[in-house]
Amino acid sequence: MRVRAVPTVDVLDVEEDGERVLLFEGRALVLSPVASVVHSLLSTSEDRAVADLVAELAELVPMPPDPEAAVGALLADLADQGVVRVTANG
Amino acid sequence: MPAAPIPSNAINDTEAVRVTALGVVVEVRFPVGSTAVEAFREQWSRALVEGPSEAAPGAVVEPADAPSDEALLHTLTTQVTIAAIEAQAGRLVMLHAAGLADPVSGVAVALVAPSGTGKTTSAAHLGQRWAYLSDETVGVDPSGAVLPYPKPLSIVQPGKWTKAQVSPDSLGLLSPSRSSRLGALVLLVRDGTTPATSERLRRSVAIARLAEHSSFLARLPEPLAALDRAVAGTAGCWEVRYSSLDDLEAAVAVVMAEAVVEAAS
Repeated sequence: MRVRAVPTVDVLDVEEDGERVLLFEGRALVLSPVASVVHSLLSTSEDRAVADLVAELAELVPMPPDPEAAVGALLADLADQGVVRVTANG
Repeated sequence: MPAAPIPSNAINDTEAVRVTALGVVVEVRFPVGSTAVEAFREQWSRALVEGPSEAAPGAVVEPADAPSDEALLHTLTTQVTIAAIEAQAGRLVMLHAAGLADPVSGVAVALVAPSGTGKTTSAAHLGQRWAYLSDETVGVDPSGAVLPYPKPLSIVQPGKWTKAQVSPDSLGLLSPSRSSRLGALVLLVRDGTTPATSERLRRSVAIARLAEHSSFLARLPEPLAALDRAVAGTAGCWEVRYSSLDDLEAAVAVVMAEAVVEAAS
């Protein structure tokens, strides 16, 4: 699985909450602290492998016992919100 | 292609009335002899720019064709609003909000809500207690100053598609006695909650919620940071869920009191 961020109009990190606010055309979203870290690791122009993302994320935030499943669920949620696009390998 | 020059007789054949909206002087050019001019002046009494002026207006509006003066004046309010908002795009944070100010301190509270969910009704009621700034749009400049837009209140008329344009003077609404500064924001949710509830929103949530009730936010440089600065200069942003106007007034009174204290500190 590969993932990339959907382009935004603007991004604001609210450091006191660890949250990130995204502005799209006509809507805005608040990302949780973990989702904010995930989003900051993604590019809008280049896909990256989810497995690599999980490995890098593990160095930055505490991960649950099954990190692949947890990140997969988070990415699915972000995809539902239109924040990322997830595609199959190849 | 450059804009075609306006023939001089086109201006001479009009009767111009100027109003101020969000810090912009908007010139409305009625056809000479239009029967709507007098009503327009009465409805826009708080915003009229009187006296001769050599300065060019910030925007020009020509009333759209309409089947009646009532329809023309209804549409004209929208035309003036759009002209002012477009003129200030990229300069102001502009929120879909009613604006009310403490008459002594000038501290203003923006009551943010989508169309048809209580801005005008709230302004008509609360403007008896606090100074009326707008029932439509609150504009905030980078210093935190609120640029008033004291348009006529656009009041729904049962069975009609047009809204009555009612002067704040004829409703007895208070006038600001000094310039206003944004002191707090309230997101209105008229969902029947009784008694009203009031919750202060986290900064990130406030920014996201307010972004969706703004005009031309993306035209500002660093739009979310601009919105964040507008909020940071206030006592905060609350969500108020309510049913009755009396409950809303009590909730806004608490927010206004906190905003006045914050502004004085």
